[in-house]
Amino acid sequence: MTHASDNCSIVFLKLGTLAASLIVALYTSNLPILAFMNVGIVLLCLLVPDVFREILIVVRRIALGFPFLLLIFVLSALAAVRTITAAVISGFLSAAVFILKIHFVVWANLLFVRTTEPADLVVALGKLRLPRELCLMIVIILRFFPVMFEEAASVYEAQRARGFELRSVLNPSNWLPLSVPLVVNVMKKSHDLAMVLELKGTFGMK
Amino acid sequence: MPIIEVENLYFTHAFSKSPILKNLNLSVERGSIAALIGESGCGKTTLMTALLGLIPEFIKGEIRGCIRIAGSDNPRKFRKHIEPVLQNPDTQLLSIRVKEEVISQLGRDGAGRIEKQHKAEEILDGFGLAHLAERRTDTLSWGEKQRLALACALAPQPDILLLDEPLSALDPVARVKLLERLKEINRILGTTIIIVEHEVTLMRQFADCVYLFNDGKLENRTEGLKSVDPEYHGCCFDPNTAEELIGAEGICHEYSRNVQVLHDINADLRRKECVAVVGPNGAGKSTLAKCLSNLITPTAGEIRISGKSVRNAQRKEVARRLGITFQNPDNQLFAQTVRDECLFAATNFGTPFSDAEKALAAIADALKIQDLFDRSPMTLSHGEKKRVALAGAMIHKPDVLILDEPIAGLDQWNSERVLSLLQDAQHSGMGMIFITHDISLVNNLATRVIFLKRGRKELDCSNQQFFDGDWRSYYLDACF
Repeated sequence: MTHASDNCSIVFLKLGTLAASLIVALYTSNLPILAFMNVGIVLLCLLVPDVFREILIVVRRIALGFPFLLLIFVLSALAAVRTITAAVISGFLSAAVFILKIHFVVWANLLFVRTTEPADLVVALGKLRLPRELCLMIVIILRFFPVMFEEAASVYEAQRARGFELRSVLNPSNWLPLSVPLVVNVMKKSHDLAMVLELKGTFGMK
Repeated sequence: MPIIEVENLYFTHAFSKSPILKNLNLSVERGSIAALIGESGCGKTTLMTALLGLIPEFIKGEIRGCIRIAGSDNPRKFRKHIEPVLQNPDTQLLSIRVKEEVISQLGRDGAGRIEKQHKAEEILDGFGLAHLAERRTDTLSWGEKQRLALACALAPQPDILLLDEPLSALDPVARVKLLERLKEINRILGTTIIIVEHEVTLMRQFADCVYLFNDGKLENRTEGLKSVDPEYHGCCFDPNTAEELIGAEGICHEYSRNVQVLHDINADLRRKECVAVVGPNGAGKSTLAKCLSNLITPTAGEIRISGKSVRNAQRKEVARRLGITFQNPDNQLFAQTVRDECLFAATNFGTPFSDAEKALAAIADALKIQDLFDRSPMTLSHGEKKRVALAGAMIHKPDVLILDEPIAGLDQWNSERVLSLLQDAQHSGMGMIFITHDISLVNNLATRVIFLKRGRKELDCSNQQFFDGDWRSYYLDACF
């Protein structure tokens, strides 16, 4: 029993730190503070090399969107500032703030999720006296996360086998062969899930 | 007195005009085992949902007739007498740890936490799952998940157990073991068992009565369903002169966390050759198929397709030579109509339209899917989807077909259609690698059998040699 409560307090500690740092990251627009926090979280992740590698893969994909973000900020700065150099500078600065914010949120959340056992999290949430339905929802999300990833990977494989190539990410119609089966599968799964919950009388219907 | 009585049941889906269940009658005695068998899309799943008391709420449509379970015709009341094991056990397991899953099932009576813990351990022990009690449910193998779902369904001690195609993903020995276990449960606990399946031969041995779906009705008969044809119809080829289509040397593959799935596997495939990859659940069959289809790159080893190494080849050029189908056809269906779906690969590979149309007509004729052409693939039944996926994989006339469980979940008639199409393809010079748990398919189609066990090639021999040996013994001690 002591083991479980130990885990529980660690989860509370992590949850608290995560919440506090996220609030700071989202409310401050101070570039040095954000940069410092980013360096800190990456160094923290380096302590767990496996997790670091996994997060890096995710971040690399997200980073594909950063140039667009930069472009949007520079363009919107053009509307406010006269000269192009001034627009580029102010656009870069505000884009940097946002990118650092996103970057921090991604790293911090992934670090938390990857280093916390879902079961411990559920126990901890239960101790917070959250409503049972809410806990159950969180459990189901955590339980089906890996399932959804597998699903997405197999859809991609199935389409690639038929010569499908994601030529241009920007054209949404290219996504159809991936998104349609994925959405349909997920809907079907959630329908089955609802059926199971109904049968188990989870929400007091039985 | 029968525990389940269904009288004159009619059901029409909200989106369709003609009823899927027409004047259906069923009566199952308490403590008996009933098997329901039928062609895909015949309404098996609909009947199951109706028996679970979920029809007006979960499947919209018009229902007439009467369902009485344990003397009650109120869905909310009879629901608690019946527990299902769904086709995909994944959707049924909601907890993160194995033990919690069982405990959550015990939640209905007011026993204390410690008491439930003990009860859960007892149940897990009874199903040989005690060593997995602390494992995460998403790390279990398919067979383990299914056993857990079964244990959970039986935990509240229901009067009736309803199983939806429980055998489809199991290897032959695991199938027999599961059925033996169910028989034991039936004998000891007196649980009424209803099982929806395709396997006619096994069901006839297992069930007290077998019902056949016919045009929305159930008939209590099994004539006209023939058993496995033991004769071998493979076609001959000369292994020494035939052109090599796929060659693989020293394939090793490991997923992250140092889990090695394949150990040093050599395999080759020649023109007109049909290789069956068989083995117990979790042997690495699907991984091998994905390596050979160039979908994943093995951690070590070399794969040649048509004599050229795939390492530096263009992915599309390699894909053009292969036709691949997967276990779950839902993963690829996306187009507006079945016709577009089938032609997707042809468009991607730039096959001339007239050629593709001609090929499609021939394949559709063999698989009997012409009538489906203008329908949306999403509205098809599992068996229909499976056939559409196969048609889509053969449309660009590949050299090699790589098929993962080509007839799993298909009824007998459709299995035969697929089989004869594949035999024709083989005669016309295609090579084929297929994964299956269906020994009769191996018997009917394979020229060579590769047996995988725990990621190692245990056996690579001709069809004749495989069936002359004691093939059942290969499966033992590795499964279920």
